[in-house]
Amino acid sequence: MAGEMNPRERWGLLLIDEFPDRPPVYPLVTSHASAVYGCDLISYCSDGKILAEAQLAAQRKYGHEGLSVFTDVGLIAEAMGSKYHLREFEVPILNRPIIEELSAIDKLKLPDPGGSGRLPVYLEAIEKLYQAKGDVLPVFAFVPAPFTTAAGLRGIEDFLVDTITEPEAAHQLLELSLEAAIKFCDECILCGALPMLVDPLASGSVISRRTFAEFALPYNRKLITHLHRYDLDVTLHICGETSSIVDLISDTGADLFSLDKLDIDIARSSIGDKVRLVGNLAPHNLMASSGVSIEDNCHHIIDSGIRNKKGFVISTGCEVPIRCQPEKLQKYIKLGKEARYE
Amino acid sequence: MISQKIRKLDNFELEENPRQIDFREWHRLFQKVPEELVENTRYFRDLPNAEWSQYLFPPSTHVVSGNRLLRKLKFDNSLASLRLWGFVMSEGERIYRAKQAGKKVIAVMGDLGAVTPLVYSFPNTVAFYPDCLWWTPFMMESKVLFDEAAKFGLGEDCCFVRAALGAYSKKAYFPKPDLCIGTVGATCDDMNAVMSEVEFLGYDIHYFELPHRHDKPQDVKRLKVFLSGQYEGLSAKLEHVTGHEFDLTRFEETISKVNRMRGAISDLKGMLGGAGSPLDSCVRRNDGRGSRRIDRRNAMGGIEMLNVEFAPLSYYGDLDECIDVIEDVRDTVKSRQTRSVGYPDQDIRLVWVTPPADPQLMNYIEGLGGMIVGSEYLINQTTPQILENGDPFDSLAESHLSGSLMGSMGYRTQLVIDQIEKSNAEGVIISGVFGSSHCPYETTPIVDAVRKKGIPVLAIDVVAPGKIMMQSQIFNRMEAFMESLKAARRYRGG
Amino acid sequence: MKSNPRQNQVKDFTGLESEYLESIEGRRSLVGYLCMRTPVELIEAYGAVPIRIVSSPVAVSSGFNPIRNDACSFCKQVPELMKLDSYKYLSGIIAGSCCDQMRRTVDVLNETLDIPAIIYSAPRTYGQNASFFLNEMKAAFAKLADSLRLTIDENELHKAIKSRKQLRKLVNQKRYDGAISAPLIHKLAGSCLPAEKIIEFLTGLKPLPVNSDSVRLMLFGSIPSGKEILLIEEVGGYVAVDLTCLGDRVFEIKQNLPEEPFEFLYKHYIEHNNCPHRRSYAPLIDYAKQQIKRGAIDGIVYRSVKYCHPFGLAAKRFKEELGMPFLELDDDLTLQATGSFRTRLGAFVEMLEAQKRRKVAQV
Repeated sequence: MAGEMNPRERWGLLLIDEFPDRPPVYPLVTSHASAVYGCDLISYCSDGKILAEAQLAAQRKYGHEGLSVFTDVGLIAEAMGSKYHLREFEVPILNRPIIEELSAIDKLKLPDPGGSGRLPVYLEAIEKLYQAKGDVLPVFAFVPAPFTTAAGLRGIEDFLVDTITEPEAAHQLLELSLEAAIKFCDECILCGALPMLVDPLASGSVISRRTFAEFALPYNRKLITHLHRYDLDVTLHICGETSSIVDLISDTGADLFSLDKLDIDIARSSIGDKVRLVGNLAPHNLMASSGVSIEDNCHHIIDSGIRNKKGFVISTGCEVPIRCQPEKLQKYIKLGKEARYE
Repeated sequence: MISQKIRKLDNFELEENPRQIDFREWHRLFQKVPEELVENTRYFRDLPNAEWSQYLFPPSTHVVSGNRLLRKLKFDNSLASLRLWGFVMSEGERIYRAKQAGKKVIAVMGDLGAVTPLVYSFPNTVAFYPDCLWWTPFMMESKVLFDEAAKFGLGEDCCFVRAALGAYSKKAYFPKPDLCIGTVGATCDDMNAVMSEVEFLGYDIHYFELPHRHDKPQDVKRLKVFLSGQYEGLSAKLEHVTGHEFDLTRFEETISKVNRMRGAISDLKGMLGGAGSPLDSCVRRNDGRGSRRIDRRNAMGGIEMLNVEFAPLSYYGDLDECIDVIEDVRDTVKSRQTRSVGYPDQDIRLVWVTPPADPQLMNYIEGLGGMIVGSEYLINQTTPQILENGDPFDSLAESHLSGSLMGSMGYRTQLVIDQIEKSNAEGVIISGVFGSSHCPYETTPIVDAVRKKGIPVLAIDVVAPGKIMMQSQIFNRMEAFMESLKAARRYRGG
Repeated sequence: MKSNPRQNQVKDFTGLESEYLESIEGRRSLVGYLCMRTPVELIEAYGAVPIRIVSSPVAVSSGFNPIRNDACSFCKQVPELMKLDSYKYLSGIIAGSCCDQMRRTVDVLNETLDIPAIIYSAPRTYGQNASFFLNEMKAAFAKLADSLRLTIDENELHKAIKSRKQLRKLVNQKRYDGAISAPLIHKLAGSCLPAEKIIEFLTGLKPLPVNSDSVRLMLFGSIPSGKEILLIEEVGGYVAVDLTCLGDRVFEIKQNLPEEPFEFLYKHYIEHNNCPHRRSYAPLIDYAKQQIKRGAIDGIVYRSVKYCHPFGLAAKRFKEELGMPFLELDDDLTLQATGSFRTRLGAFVEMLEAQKRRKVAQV
C-alpha cells in the first residue's frame, strides 16, 4: 500500500521525538525464533548463520518490527571465562563462574569480540541480518549489562553477597564487565546493530533499590554515556518487578526502557516524559496454557502506552517464550499494528 | 546552557597525515576527539537549550540507522571531514527538529540551489531539498524509496530523483513542509513528473517558472527581468507563509553569508584543482630522467568535496552552521597544502561531470589513483557571488541565470571545458543517469567536445543499488580508463 | 476490389495535400513544427506552410545519432526524420517548449541542421506571466521570420484564426456525426493545408458506416506514429476518441478566449494546452473524462513513446483516475513493436467485446 511506513522508518521517527503513524510493534522474539526455524537451541546459540536465518524466518512469519540478536545473558561472562551449559531445548545456564576466589579478578582478561566465546556468533548474526534487512528493519544486539555480566563471572549468589561484604571487589568486577561490554558494543555497532542493554539481575525482584543505585546504575550510566557519545539511542531492559527503581531509570541515561512486570501507567507517570517505554505484555500470556485472551491483556497496555509523552513501542515484558503459541503472538502483533496515534 | 564558543576547529587534526579511512577506523579515531568538541559542535545555535543539536559523530553512528553504504566508503581522516559528514548525515533529523522548534520548513524542488538564499532571508525559516533524497537509496543500499515511487508509476525509466516522490508518500523522511516550491520550465522532466504526483498527494506547490535560456545576450536580459518578477512573487508567498515581511537588511545579511559560503567553496575548488593554486601545495619530484614535473597531492576526498559542493542547495538546513563546516574543510585543505601533504598515490587529475548518486564510484576512482580536480555538477547557479547591494530580486535572477541546465547543451559543454582548462585535467568522467531527461542529449556533445581537446573521457551510467553485476562492469571500465590514463602519462614521459 | 470509404477518405485527403504542396513548390517556405503548442495560424500569417513533424516508420537509424538510446524514442527519431523527403525541404523549425527532451531535441537540430530551429517557453501555471510567455512566442516567430525573410500579414492572421475556428467547429460536428474516421483525424491534425481547403474537403463528407458491435476505444498518450489506429481497426476496435496531440485534442474548442489575435493564439495553444508536462494532470484528466462520456468509450488504449516522461510517467495516474479498462503500450517506434502491439490490442479488444456481450446478455 502506498504511503505505508516500514519498521526502520517508524523507529527512526520515534527516536527523534516524532510520532509515526503508530508505535513500532516489537515483541522480544529471541530464542522462540529457533522454534519457528526448526533448529535446536545449541545450534541457535552457537552458530551465527543459524541465529540469523532463524531470526529472519521468525520475522517473516510474524512481521514484527525489529530483529533481535540474543541468546543468553551470560554471553560476555562466558567470553571472559565462565562456563555455560548449552542445552538443546532451553537457554544456556551458568555452569561454573570464572571467579571462584576474588583474587582471580586481577587475572581476568577482557574478551576479544572477534574470538572469545560465542561473541563472534553474535557478530556474524548481526552482520548477516544487517546485510539482509538492515535497510528496513533495525537490528538490536542484546548486550548483557555490567551488573549481569559481573554476576555471571562470579556466580549470582556470591556476587550479590560481595555487594554487601566485598563492595570494592564487586566494583572492580563491574569495571571489568563495563569495559568488556563497551568493547563488545563497539563491535556490534560496527556490524550494524544498535546495542540494547539487558540487565535481568538488576531487577527489583532480585536486588534492592540501594544495590541497584550503587552497583547497577552507575555502570549502566557509563555504558550508556559511551553509546551516547556516538549519538545512539539506548534501550535498557530489566526483567521482573521494577517499581522500586523505575524512577532511577532515567538516571541511567537510557532513552528507552523495556519494562516487564510493572504497570505501564506507573512507568508512564514516573519517567514517561523523559524515556520512551517498551512493553509489556506478560510473556506467559503467549503460552497455550494461559487461559487469558490476548485482547483483554493488551488493551490496557496499548491504550496507555500510546499516550506516553516520549513515545512507545508495543512489545512484550520479556522474551517471547520459546514454546509460545504462534497464533497468540500473531494476534498480539496484529492488534499492535492496528493501533494508531490520533 | 550549551556553550556557544566552539565554532571553528582551527585545523585541529587527529592524525598528522591525510589519508582515507573506513568507518571502522573512524569509530576508533573518534575516541580521540575531545569531549568538549563533541559536546559543543551543534546546529541551530539560535536554540541554545536544544539537547538534540549535537552532530559531531562518526559514520558508524549512521551505519546503525541503516546507511549501509557507509560501511564501504573511505572518508577523509580530518576533523573537518568528520564534522562535514556529521552535518550532512544529520540533515534529516535537523529538518524535523526545525519544525519541532517552530521554524518554518520549506521544500525547494527543481531549482538546484537558486531560490534558497531568498528562503533563508526570512526569519526562523529553513529549506531542504527533496530532490537530494536520490542519495538515500544508495546510502541505505535500499530499493524502498524507488519501490514506493513505482507505486505511482515512476519506475526505472525515471531518474533517481523519483526517490523524492517515495519520500513524500512515506512521510518519514521530512516533516510536512510549510511550503513546497517547485521550479518548472527549463528543468528536468523527471522532477516535473515527481511534482505532478506530489500534487496528487495533497501538497500545494508554489511554482517558480524558469523559462529556457537561449544563451543570447538580448534574451538573457529579458529573462532576468522575468526571473526577478518570479522572485518577487516567491517573496510574497514566503511573507504569507512565514508571517514576516521581506526585510532588505536581513536579505543583505543572508546574501553576504551565502556569498561567504560560495566563496569558500570556490577557494576550495581552486586549491584542489585550479591553476591558481599556490605552488607550495605541490611536491617537486625527479622522474629519474633529469626532468622535473610538479605533482599536486590530493588534499581532500572526492566525496567530501561532493558534499561541500552540494551545500549551497539548501545549506543542509542551517546556513550559519553550514558556513563554518565548509570553512573548516577549506582551512584543512589550505593547511595541508601549506604542509605539502595529501593522500599518497592519487595524482591522475580528473574532472567529474554530473554528480554521481552513488558516491562509491568516486572512492573507487580515487583508489585507482585518480584525484578529482574539477567538477560540473549541474549546479553552476550556486557558484556566482550574488550582488549584495543591488535590487534583491534582480541580484537573485542574475545569479540564477548562470544555471547549468536551463540553457543550451553548448553552454553546459563549455562549463565542462572550462573546468578542464582551469584544472589541467588528464581525463573526464561523466556519470549519467539512464532514462533521465537531459543525460541522453548532453553526453555525446560533451564527450565530443572533450575529445576534441585531446582529453580522454569515460561516460558511465550510475547503477541503481543492488545491481551488483552491472556495478562490477562499471568498476571494470573505470579500471581500464585509469590504466589508459596512466599509460598515456608514461608515454608522455611523465 | 470493394472500395473502403474510410480508406478512401484518407487517400483523397492525402492526394489533396500532395497537390497543394506541388502547387506551392518553390513559392512558399515550409516551416516544420514540433508539438501542438505551435500556433499554425502564425506560420500561415507569415506566408509559410506549416509542416507538422511526426514520427515515421520509414525513419530508421542510418548512422550516427547524437541522442542516446534512453531518450524519448520520438525525440531521438527527429534528427533522422529530417533526412526524409517530407522534411528535407524545410526552411526552418519552430516549437513551443513542451518538455525537457523536446527542448534538447531542438538544440540537437540546431547543431546538426543548417536551418534555424527555434524554441520558446511555455508556463506551467495558468493565468500568470502571460505577457512574458506571449512575448516569448512572438519573439520566437519574429526570429524565425527574420532568418527566413518573412513578414507577417495581419489580415492573413485574422483570416487564418477565423478559418481555424470554423475548422475546429466543423471537425467536432463531423466527428460527432461519424463522418470523420480516426485515421483521417490524424491527417487533419497534422495537415499542411490551409483551413479553408480542409473545410471544403470536409463539407462533403457523409457519415461513415459503423459497426455498432465494435468496441469503442479512446486512444491516449504520446504523439502517435500512425500505426496505432490502423492496428486497432485491424483487430476490430473502433477509435471513437483520439486524445493524442494528433487527434481530437487538436480540435478542442476552448471557451472564453480573448479576441486579440496573439493573445488568442497564446491562450489557445499555450496556456490552455493540457499536455501533462507543462500542466498538472488534473485538467487533462477532466477533459479525458468528458471525452469518454461523449464517445461512449469502452476502453482506453494508452500508448506512450518509450522514455517519453510526460506521458510515460503519468500512465499509472491516468489509469487510476480514469477507472476503466486500460491497455498500456510502450512504443519504441521500431517495426518490431508492431507485432506485439497487434497481439495485445487483439486480446484487449476481445476482452472488451466479451464484456460487452455479457452486458447485453444481462440486459
